[in-house]
Amino acid sequence: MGTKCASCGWELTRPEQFALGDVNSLYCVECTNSDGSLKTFQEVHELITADMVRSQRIDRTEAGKMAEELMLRLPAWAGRRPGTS
Amino acid sequence: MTSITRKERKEHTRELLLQSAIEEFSSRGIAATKTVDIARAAGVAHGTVFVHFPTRDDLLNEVIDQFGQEIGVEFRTLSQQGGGVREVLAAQLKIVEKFEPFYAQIVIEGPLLPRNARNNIFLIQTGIALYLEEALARDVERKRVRPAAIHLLVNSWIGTINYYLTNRDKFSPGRSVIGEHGSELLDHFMGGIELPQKES
Repeated sequence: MGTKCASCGWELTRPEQFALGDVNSLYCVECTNSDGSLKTFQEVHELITADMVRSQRIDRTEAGKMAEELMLRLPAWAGRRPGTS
Repeated sequence: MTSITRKERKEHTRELLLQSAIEEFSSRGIAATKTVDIARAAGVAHGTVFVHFPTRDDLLNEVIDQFGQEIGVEFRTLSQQGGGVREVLAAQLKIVEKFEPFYAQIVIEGPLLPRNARNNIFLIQTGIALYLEEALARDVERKRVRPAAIHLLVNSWIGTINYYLTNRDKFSPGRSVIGEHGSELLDHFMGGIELPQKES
């Protein structure tokens, strides 16, 4: 193991970090619903933004921009048009 | 004799370029380093750089990612072992010391770096902060430290480390400032949040 979540980029090393505990899943448990399906762009964006704001208290708008730029570089969201979150 | 496959040779060149990039960014400064400097240091043709990394910023981001991945590996192990705040911060210092010349340049040139590179640094810091938040909760539960606002804990710690890194030529010229001052800084920082422990 040692793969990254294709949605948020978080490194996954333990089964419980993967969606449904399945190490073959492309996504982490945080980015997925209880049935293993990927959350919406807006939902994942809010999770990442909230982590940044809570942990460093940076400006929320700036955190949102950084979260979007990160997500658009990841396979789950690549090709999406910037600014559509 | 072992024959090297094309794929292995390509991977070797990529690693060589990354290592040369770290060294050149560290010694010349990030903004002042050109891709031709990195190619020369790696002993490859200039065009080879772009076979592996489409732009100079891609190469810089990859180097920053490596730093982030090493921190991630250390922290995950600690998290699995139930490490506390002191252990998490000590692990961070260990990785910063390993990458010190490069990381110091990141700190010094921070606001002038390309936006993607700056974002990557903040994302790495967010990762550190999330592990620290977990560790803080464990330590508070064990009554080893008093509760603290995570953003103030993270930002004041990073601020202190970055001050020493920015001025490493004054604190520890030609040496590792984290190696020389890291333990003292950690003890001082922890002294502000640790609770007295009953003697057993």
